[in-house]
Amino acid sequence: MNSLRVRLSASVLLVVVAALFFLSFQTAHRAQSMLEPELERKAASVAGSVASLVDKALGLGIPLDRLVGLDTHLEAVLESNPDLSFIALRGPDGATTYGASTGIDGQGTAASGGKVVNAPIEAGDGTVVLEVGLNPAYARQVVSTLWIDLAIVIFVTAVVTLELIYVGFGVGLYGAIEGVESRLRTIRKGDLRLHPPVDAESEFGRFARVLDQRLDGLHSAYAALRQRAVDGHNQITQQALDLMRNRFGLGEGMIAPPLQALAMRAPLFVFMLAEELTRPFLPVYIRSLATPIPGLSPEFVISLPMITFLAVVALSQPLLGNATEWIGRRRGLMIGSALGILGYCASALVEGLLALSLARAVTAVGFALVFTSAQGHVIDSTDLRQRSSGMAIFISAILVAGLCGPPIGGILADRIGIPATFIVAGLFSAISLGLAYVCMPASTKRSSARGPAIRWKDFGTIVSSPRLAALFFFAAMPAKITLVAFCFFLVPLQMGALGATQSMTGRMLMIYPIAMVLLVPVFASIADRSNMRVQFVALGGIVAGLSSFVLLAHGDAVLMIALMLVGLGLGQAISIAPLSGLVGEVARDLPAEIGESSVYGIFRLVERTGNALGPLVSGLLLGLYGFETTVMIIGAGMAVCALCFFIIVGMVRGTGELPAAGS
Amino acid sequence: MRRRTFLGYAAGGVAGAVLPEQTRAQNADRPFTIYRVTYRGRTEVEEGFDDYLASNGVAVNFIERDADRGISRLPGFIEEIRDLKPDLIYTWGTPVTLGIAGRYDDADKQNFITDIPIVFALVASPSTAGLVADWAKPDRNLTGTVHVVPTETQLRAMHSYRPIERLGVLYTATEQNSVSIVQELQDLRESMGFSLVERQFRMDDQGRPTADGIPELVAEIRNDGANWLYLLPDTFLGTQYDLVSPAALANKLPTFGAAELAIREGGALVALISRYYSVGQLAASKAMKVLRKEVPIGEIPIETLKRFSLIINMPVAKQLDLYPPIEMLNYAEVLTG
Repeated sequence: MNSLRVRLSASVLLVVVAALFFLSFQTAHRAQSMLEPELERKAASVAGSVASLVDKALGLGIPLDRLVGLDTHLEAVLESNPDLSFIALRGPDGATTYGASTGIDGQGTAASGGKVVNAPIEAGDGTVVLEVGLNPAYARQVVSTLWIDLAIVIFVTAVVTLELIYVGFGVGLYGAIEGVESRLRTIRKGDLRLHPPVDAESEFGRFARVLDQRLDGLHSAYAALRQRAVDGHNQITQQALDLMRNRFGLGEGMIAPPLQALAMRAPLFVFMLAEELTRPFLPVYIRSLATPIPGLSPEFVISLPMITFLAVVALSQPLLGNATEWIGRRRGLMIGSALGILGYCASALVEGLLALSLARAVTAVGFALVFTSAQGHVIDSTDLRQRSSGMAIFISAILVAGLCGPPIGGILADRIGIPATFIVAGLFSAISLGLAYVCMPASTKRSSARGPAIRWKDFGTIVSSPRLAALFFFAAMPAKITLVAFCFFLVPLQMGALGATQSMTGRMLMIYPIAMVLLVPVFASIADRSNMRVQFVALGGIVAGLSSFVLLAHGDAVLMIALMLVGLGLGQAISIAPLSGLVGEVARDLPAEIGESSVYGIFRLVERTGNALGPLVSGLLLGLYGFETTVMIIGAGMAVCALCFFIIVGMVRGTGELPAAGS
Repeated sequence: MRRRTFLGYAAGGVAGAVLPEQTRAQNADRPFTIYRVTYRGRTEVEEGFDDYLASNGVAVNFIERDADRGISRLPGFIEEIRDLKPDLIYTWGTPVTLGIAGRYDDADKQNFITDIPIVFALVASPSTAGLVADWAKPDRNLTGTVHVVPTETQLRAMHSYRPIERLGVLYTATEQNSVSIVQELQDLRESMGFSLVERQFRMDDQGRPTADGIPELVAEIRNDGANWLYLLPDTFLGTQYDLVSPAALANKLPTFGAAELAIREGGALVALISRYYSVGQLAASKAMKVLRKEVPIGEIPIETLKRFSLIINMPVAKQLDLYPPIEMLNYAEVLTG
């Protein structure tokens, strides 16, 4: 924990967060001081408009005690002005002749510190007065809502800062410093394994080189000793040398952290952030553009651009995987980002559903390009041992973007409007383009590299294996369908219907990524160690599916949705890592010539298809039933599929199960 | 070669754009002639009609004729029309329009005008009167504007002033339009939750309505439990406001008028009406389309206004001690005189 990287990150973060806190305090303070006079002004104008109505009535000769329907009118005014606590019309003797109050202050008294604004009625010769009382709790609530948004901004900025810090790690002088640091640390612990070389240009580099030379000397001496022991058939010496090897790691090299792979993290993260910005408001935006299509329910029409996006991603990913090998990963990322800029800006400017679907299709191609380029880069720059930690970097960048994007997207949409937020997403794509250019190594044309290729002729064989088919279609696909249906489509629409702001919707969409980030490592290691992958996948599916039934309980609608998302996140966290690992495990059933990458390729395709089916299924169901029923149908379906999966995979024993080797 | 063809097309295009302007300018010089037949002299409808044409730069010479509340003069007008051949005929109200244009399904149209376009105003129900089969496409030399507010809309306005429990209505049994409105009221009873009290004007020996016994009829309506009296657009009723309204007032029965006359001069408490001025404007817009030959008259639909005016008579409200809900004052016109 004392490493340079951690200390550097922490100090940068501290400075950023401190600055943001300072700014936030200033903002809140400023808002508060502007708020009170504004509220007073507003109360005065409400009082004025009611007063002029009463004035008009009295002026027409209607007696004061004959103002029909004034009480109801005052109640309606109060309801549409939550910043007021009471309105009362006081007659000549000071008594309240008409009034409405929200009960906070009781009958028109100025208790609990709220200010009172008066508007005299002219026609009543100044003896008739309209009184309006301000609700002090309202101002407090405005400021606290502001603080919530500020806190989200601070949090997301901190996370983004952390991501961007990675831009500098692992290269140049910094890499040399880190190299020296890791050597000193490991040698101190008695770990004598060889380290990957560092750039030798700087003092630090030279120092590291010196250390490496000493280690190299040790390792060669060890190797020579070993050779002599083998030649001389000296068992005892060999055993002693083996003990030394286990104790000190002589003869072995360290698994280098996949530093090269880190290069893609910043551009990938920023691009994914752009797409995640749109999550809270995309369905609502589509609905505002949509014109009814005869024969289709309006909810289904809303799902069409979303299906377009996800289907294009699903279909183009296998193809683009090879394409990015060809044209180079950096170029692929840059082209993808450029398409993203185009797609997002177009999404902001379009006016019809077809045009929006087209814009989303363009964005989808960009998305697939960025995804496959980044993934390909990780595969290119890691060897097999580093592969999983490299992939972990890849996945965590996407996950963190999924955590940060929605709340920021929501806040932006509330403050600058949805089209402007799309433009901001385009801006992020542009930044991603720049970062790709700066961070990633120049593209080299590869002629014979292996990428995650899918051999289509294997598709039939793969799918006809019952265990694999069950895994794909009863576990992987339903999980994705449920995830996309709930988080991308149903929840944003329902939050909109409940009248929530985009900021609230964005915050709601954070629940799932937070659950994933916190719980996936926990359950992944438990599942691996206990070798109960099948059970975990089934359990996760059932938990996620049944979580939708929490909607049956009575309670605040928003809270129920939040609980449902917690359940979904929990279930998926339980199942997601074991699922991935099971693919490799179950794939061993297959004939040997089908490569593991082929299987994984098809696995990802199945998942992507599930993504695309999500809006399709939920759009159809939402049109027929309401939100709650749709959610419960999908959840029940998922639980049932998980059960079927468990039965099929549990019952049909595979050809020998190898111990879990880590995913 | 290409340049010359382009210039040729350009020249042709410019000429094509200029020439029709020329012909239009020529036509615009000569003012149109409109033969106008009113029923009871000049009203606000004609004001709206004239103002609209003037503000749209349509020069018109009017030949003004008045039917003086009867149909006896109409055949004479028809002959005059045949002589003078005006560009357009304007008719006021159902009797005049029927007298000049005839029913659409009349086999013998000799006595009516069929070759000159006719624009009417203030026909309460063109299809019931037999003027057209389909409002949207008159399919004859006739179009116009209807001033009647849909019955249900009126009832809703009445209800928001004071809930209707039992609605009273006094009408002429021989007026087809009134009979169908009363039928509509009967149909609306259940959906709107009120009951109906009907009375008819007494008839003389020739089957025409008389003013005989109006105060008694109103009192009967009141005693039968009505809490509103609906002054429907009945032509005879429209001439008897000075008897009906005082009787209603004396019986503490609030009245709702369906025509502008009812509230401005007739003493009703409240009315939801089409402004006569706006009706005239709408009729003028149709006349303009016909005169400028933009649309063939058979394809110009017959329309009502889209917006209506709520008028409240405050002195009557005071006498009845029945004041309007205060929110109505935001959008109603209040008469204080």
